[in-house]
Amino acid sequence: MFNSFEGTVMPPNTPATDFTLTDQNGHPFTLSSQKGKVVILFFGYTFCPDVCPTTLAEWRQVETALSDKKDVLKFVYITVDPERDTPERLKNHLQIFSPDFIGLTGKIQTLEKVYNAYHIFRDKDEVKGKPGMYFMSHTSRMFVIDSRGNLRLSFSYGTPVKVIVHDIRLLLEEIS
Amino acid sequence: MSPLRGMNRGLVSLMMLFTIIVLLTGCQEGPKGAAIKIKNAWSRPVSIEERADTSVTPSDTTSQMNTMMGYNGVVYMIITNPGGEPDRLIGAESDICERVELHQSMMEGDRMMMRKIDGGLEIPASEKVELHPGGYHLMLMGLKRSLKPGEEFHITLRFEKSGQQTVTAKVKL
Repeated sequence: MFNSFEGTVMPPNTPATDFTLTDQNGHPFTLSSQKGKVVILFFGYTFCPDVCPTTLAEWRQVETALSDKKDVLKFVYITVDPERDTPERLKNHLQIFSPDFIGLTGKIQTLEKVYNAYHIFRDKDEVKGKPGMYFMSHTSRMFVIDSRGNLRLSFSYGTPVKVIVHDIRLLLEEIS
Repeated sequence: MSPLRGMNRGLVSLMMLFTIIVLLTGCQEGPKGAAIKIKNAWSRPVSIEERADTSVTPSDTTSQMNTMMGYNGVVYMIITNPGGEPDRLIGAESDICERVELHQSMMEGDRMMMRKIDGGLEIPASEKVELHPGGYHLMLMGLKRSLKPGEEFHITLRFEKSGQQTVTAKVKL
């Protein structure tokens, strides 16, 4: 059966690289423990003023559109800025958008393995005249892992919410 | 009345009507120095962690950095220049933050970059410029308080030709 996905389809049978990071409540979160659920992954940082909050606002709309499936759909936000994004910081930031979004941070060595596995570019942009202050440039693509733990889809920044909802619903329908 | 005189009267009336139409059309183009119009100013929520005991300086590096860092907000809007001459947004201020800067987000492939724009933003004659997510935006640097959904705050914009305008931005999710 052909599923008519509108997002970017990843090569078939690509297991999503597993990881264990720390969530906003200080508890460990392991990706492979989410089997049976669809996971949407995004890499951002809480001091981001524009693109990351926009993505979180879009996630809110996706969450609302798919609220009937909320028990089997996880929104996971991994920080590209672990120096500043502590679990508490992630919690304060994410709960504005939804109490159910998961924010992850961890040791830089662990995070770098995750960044590499998902081909996440990130770079610090220091602010002139303000030592210690910086913004981050980073990959803004969103990834979707299906209920069997395979990396199935990705969406570039700016993909309309209705496209995301359409495709995620197809993956949710795969859950028996 | 002779047919010729009747025709002259008709011609005069037609010329008067034509003149009125031209004048009205001229008025609709707008005077050269017409004021910039700003609408739909909006912002996103930002949470500033309040420390319960502000007499204590945070001892761990992360908290110290967060305090130094400052929190940043964003404002988007639609700026319309109805006049016949270009104008330029050259600055902005707001009581809710230390300073306001103009930034632009840009995609390079999958990478989101952001840069500060110096020199202001041109608002071409008879055109509108939209500050929107993923594009140009005003950044509120060093927020003095959290921004909660539903709240409003004032921001004053400075234009090279039109001068200052204060607008109300609404915080929304």
